[in-house]
Amino acid sequence: MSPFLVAIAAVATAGAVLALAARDGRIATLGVAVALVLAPLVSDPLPEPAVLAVRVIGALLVAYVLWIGLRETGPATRGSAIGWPALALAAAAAFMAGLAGHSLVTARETPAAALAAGTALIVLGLIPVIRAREAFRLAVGLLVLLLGITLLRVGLAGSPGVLESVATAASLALLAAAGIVIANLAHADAGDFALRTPEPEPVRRRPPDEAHRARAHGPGSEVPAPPPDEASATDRASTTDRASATDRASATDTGDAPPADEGARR
Amino acid sequence: MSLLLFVAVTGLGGVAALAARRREGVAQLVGIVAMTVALVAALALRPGDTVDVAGQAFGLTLYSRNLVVLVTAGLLLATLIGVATAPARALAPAALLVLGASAATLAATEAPTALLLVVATGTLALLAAWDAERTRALPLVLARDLRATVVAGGLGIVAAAGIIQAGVQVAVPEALFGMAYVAMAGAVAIRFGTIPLHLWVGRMADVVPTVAVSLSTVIAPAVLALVALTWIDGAVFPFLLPLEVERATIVLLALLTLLLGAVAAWIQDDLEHLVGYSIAQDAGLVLLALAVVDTSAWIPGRIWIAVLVLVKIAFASWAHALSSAYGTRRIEDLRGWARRSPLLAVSLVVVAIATVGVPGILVWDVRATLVGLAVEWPLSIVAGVGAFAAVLYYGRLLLTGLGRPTESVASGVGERPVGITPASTDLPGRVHQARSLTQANRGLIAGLLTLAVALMSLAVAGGGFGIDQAAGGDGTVSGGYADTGGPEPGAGPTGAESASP
Repeated sequence: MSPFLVAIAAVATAGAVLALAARDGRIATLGVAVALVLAPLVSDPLPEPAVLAVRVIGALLVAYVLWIGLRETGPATRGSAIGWPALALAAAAAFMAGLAGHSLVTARETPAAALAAGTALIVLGLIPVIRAREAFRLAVGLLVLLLGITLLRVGLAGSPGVLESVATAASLALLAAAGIVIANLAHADAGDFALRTPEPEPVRRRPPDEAHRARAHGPGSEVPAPPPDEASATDRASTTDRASATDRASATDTGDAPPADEGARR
Repeated sequence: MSLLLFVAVTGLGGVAALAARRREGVAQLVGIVAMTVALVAALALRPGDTVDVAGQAFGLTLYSRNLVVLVTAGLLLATLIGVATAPARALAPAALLVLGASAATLAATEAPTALLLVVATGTLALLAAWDAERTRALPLVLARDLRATVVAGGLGIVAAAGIIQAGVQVAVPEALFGMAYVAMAGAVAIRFGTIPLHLWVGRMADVVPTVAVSLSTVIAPAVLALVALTWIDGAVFPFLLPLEVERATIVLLALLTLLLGAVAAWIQDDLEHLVGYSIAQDAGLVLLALAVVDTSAWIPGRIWIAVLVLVKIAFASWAHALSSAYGTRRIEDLRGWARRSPLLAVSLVVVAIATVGVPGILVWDVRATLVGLAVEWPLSIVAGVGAFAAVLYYGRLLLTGLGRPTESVASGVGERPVGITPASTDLPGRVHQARSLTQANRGLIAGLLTLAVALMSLAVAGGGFGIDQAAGGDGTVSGGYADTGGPEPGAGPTGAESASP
């Protein structure tokens, strides 16, 4: 086990902690950049210059994309709900578990530091990915998660070739671009990065007598029909109820409520 | 070299179409031209024509080449349908970029590289939502799609890495293989949005123009499924492990998806939700293919994936054409549509036959084979019912169309041809007339284009375009990782006579 690699892996993990704990998007971007630049160095033997160049350029591209995205919205994010000490402790525990478990899970001569950093980054990334409440944090979390997975792959199966490094850099850059676009969409809608579940439209419930009258005037009824104005009001109410019921059913399907303007779109 | 040309054409075309998006007319023109050039480049792809990149030979087999050609043609028709009906400016750029990334993924020679490119493909597919209506739900829906893409790709990479390292150990723990196998199948399940992992699919169909929904929910997941199918054959099957619990888990997911997916699609009142759930339901058969841990499901699985992609492009295009013609997505409000849009009615019947099949055509045998290979009696009855339950929602749509037209349908755009009498002699006048004529006949044009893409999907479902022969490979043409599995060359299209453990 190389102390040099362990130190680099630890700094990369610290970068990820910074990225996920910071309430300032620019500091979070700095943390992502640190993790992305150092991650390819956690490899034994050290990667070829071409691989390193590809990964560093990719890392800078990711940081640049996040940075210009933040210029549109301002840097304020919610940061971590559990605070940086808790994140750091979780990362440290995962890091140590990865380091200690290396000999148990692989027989290859792969760097234990990569497995340690990969485990730590996956644990860190999963927190905002599972609880996706804020678009910017989700983007950073997905970046950290994917980076952690590539490190885990190095720790389990050895260093990737040039082509896989290019694919890694491209995937991370595209992910950053998609993430920041979604964050900007959320910000344009509500002035912050929160991913809001739109509130359902209030359901208009008809009073029992109105509902009874609607049934009574149905086909085959002997009760005279109400005047046109009243009839159309009843029809409208019926339509509203039906649309709301459809939306409620749909919201049940997908686990969230329908958008507020959905009815208008239809 | 032909592969590089295709990737370059799709990449540059996609960027050009994206750059032109602010001017609708220009964006449509650039998109159509770029898609047409991409189709020519796809037709120029030569199986076995490899290009050396960083020491690895990239190339496509006949199956992958044919799949790329068919999907490009299908998406070109879908783009034209979008132009003829409701504009979907983001479709062409997103389709081009997804096509290029998909071809690169199919040509990648190592599993981790292919899986990373799967993540890139899924991310690019999100571009389809570029011109989606800015509802409050949009960021949340896109975030969920992105999350599914990364988590699925990540699970696949971890599974592949786990097996790579396990291959060198003397005593291979069966549990490790089991976890990796379930992780890979789970990745496909998440990406397709199969039940109960379907939360994001319905909403995605809701916000993205229907004609473009196949990019994110079918094409990108299908590429992952092809990689997963090969990975299971190449990395898990050779160890001849029983993996009974793991297989049972995947079969359970598949059965749930086939049965509940059909019911969910059947009861939907929204056409776009119905399309989303129908995609998830048919992905249940992909899971059944993954539940077979030997090479016998490789060929039928690959044929079904090709059919699935084409059929869902056709179905999404049909739904887009229908909802655009009558200005509503509510099935209840679309009563009587078939009377005013007979071409769309025929298209729906064709799509239904291409999906479910009828005895005597390839897709029927393929579906029956997948069910037979994955589950035994009596569960095969349940799977069989689920596999053919799609007739429920296709039947409902058709019956709705035969009813008395609603006000929306009566006032919508039908398919009756419309002529324009005054003839102009000067060029601007003729151009104006041509545009007016196209606008007046947009229902007819959309109907014809939809019928074309539906017939293409039926041809693939019937074994056309050489998909059935190409799915098995001939063993002499080198391709990407996704093409390296399967039984011995020469096995039949349903793989029935191929090797078993």
